[in-house]
Amino acid sequence: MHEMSLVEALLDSLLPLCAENGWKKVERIHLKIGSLRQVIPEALVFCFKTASAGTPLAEAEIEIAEIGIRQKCERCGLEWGGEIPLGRCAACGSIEITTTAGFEMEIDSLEVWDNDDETD
Amino acid sequence: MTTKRISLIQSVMAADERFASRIRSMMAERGILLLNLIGSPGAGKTTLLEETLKRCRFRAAVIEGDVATARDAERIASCGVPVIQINTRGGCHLEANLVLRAIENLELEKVDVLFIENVGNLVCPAEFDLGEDLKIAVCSMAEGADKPLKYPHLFHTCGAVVLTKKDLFPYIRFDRDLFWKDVETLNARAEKFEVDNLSGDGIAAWLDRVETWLRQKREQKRA
Repeated sequence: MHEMSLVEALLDSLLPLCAENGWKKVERIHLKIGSLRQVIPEALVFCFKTASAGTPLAEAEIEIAEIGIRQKCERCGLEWGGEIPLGRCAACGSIEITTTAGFEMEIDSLEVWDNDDETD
Repeated sequence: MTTKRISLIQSVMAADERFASRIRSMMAERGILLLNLIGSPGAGKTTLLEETLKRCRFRAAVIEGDVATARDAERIASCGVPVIQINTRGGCHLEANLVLRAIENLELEKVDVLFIENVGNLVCPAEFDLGEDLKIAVCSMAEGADKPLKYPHLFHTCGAVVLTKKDLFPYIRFDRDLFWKDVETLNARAEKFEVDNLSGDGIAAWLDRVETWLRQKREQKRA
């Protein structure tokens, strides 16, 4: 249960941005989370609702795009995806494997109320 | 009124990653090997450390992470090694900012190998970079052979797997071949050790490897 730590980190990144840019209300936060990250989306959303109360992020919806595992053999170039990460290339047997996707834990983008519009 | 979409593409844990890279460069400048021991409660992490510290020829220090109590730190201190206890008060893992504060209280010029014993848990500690050279997965035979596939993140990313309590083998149902086959499937690079912490059987091979890692770390510093 490390979702609360992630939420704290998320608030630490986003609240200063809200202050700097004068965003009063963030509508939606788009996250990219790799399937190897062991994050429970419901737990993340629950922690976020609790921790963001009283901030410009309080009403933001969290959208999580789960990114599947992708791996690449550095020797023969084979690329593959799967449920679990593999330690050896199925084609050439090399252990020079790079996991190219599945460990993401990124803030992809935000949707914020356009402050400029309010003055129109 | 409209909303506008703002692209960020930054790590959620950017702040903690900065602490981790600070630790990594502090260790690199000094040629100190940093190992992050991760395993379930009761896997034998502290006992493995005790047996390591009793026998090692390098100068070690330990950072102990626990939810509560200083019991592990007391055990390590009685080996005559500098130790700092971090109590997470409910937190299920250590984070780099906590570790950095602990490191600042160590006399690093007197340390060759710094061990971090993470909070007992196979899930969350694997997620947080502490600036370590290697994560070490510590798992006991009593936990069952299915652990690698159930906790793929740790077993995929660790530099070594230490299977403890091998003296229990005759008394329990533990599919040793399956355990190591699954480790190999997830992580063919991981070094593999079996130890019996009570008799010390297997500790020498583990200790040898730690000394090799330390030599490599020092060579990197010189290079």
